[in-house]
Amino acid sequence: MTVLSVGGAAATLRQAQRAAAPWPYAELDPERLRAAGWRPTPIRDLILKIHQRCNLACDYCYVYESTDQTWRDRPAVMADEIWQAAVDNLARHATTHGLRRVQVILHGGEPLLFRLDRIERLVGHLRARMPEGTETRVGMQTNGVLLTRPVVSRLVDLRIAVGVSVDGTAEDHDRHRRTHAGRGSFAAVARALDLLREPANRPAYAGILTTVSPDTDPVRTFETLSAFEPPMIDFLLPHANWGEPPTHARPGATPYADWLIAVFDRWYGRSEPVRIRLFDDILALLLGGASGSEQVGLSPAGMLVVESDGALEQVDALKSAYPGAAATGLDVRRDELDAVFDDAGVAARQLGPQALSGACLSCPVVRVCGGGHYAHRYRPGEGFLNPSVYCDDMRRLIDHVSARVAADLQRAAASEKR
Amino acid sequence: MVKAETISEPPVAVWSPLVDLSDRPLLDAIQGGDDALARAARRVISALDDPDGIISAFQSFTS
Ligand code: SF4
Repeated sequence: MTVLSVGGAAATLRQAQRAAAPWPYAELDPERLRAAGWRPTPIRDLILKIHQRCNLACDYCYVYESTDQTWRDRPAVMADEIWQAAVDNLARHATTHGLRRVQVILHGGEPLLFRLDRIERLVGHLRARMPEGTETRVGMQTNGVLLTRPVVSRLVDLRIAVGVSVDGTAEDHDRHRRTHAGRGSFAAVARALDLLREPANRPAYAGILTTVSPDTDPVRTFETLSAFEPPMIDFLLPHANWGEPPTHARPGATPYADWLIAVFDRWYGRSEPVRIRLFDDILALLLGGASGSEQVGLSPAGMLVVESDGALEQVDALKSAYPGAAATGLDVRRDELDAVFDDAGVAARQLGPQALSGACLSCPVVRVCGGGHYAHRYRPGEGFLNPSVYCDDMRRLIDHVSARVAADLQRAAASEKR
Repeated sequence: MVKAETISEPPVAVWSPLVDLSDRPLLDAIQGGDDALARAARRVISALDDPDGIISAFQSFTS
């Protein structure tokens, strides 16, 4: 690619982003932010799209079914030179910023299509290149279908922890998560989770990722997932925005909060309950702590994606907003990771309250909600300076959790005084 | 463009956590149990040296 065409592509990208999302692209200037005291948060998570294709065809997939179809133009398999450049770049970044910990997440498509021998080389290179004193963790997000016994054993040996996507009961899972031939994938995933539950394999078991779906039974979903004994369940709200509202949204109703509250009430107060990332984060925020996930809180985002062609992008969730919403115009072979801090979109995700709309800033639960997931704030032609399209659901969920916790704290405070 | 002088911390609605970090005795009191609230209290206490947190993309390694 010539310098001219790189520059031309970047200018076209910027123009499209300014039109689709004036905030932040036309209104935030990272240079001025820096001059005014903003200090970028270094990148801690590098997500490598090692394989762009998938062995399933889930009907809600944010990669293949979203407005952004850039995956079609990218190589199916990440070439050696790309992942090597990504690893080397991350190692330099870790050295420059003295990072104590980084994690690399192998992602797709379906990352296991990349093949284990390549994964082994990648992980070997990664561990060899990272500076001493930087703990390096490797994760993988998979649909689980290819997790056979030999594969799981090798993942344990390679110290790779896998997160598996499951929708709940067999019936609910198979309604959406099907093979290209139309067959359900639950049986294969359940077999994989049974393998991961075995004591020898547990180090490779990171957790389960589940999309909230109000047309399913929340308690049955939760109990089905719990039976797989995951170290953690990550419930995600389906990606939606003000241009494409959530499927089940209705005026005056909060179906997503209602679903989550039913799960929360089943879960809260249990002894040693399975970790549920969203609820654990809300509880920590209510106690004055910080969040570590994208769905709540005001923590800065410290993650970046490397696409299979070397493009440095923001997380996939943004692709649900408009085509090119995740792009930075940078390439992991050419640009240092620090270059992303000149991107208004990246800066916007590190500004905490400065990236919130007036409505959120005056909201009583803002410190907990944090305006919701950044991708859910998008309004076409305006950008991301809005409350979440799940605002009513977020408010209801947080109020509910807060009331339960407040009652417990009152009890704790009363017994303290006795 | 955002003017430099306008980007200082904007006013956020008056809100204080149910337990403030300064209220250590209460946090300490609830952290001994085996439920989710106790676990959250332990997490908040153990993260006092990194109170801001960083968003992570992967669920397994964050507490
Ligand atoms: S509940 Fe709504 S208004 Fe309040 S912070 Fe969340 S998205 Fe913003």
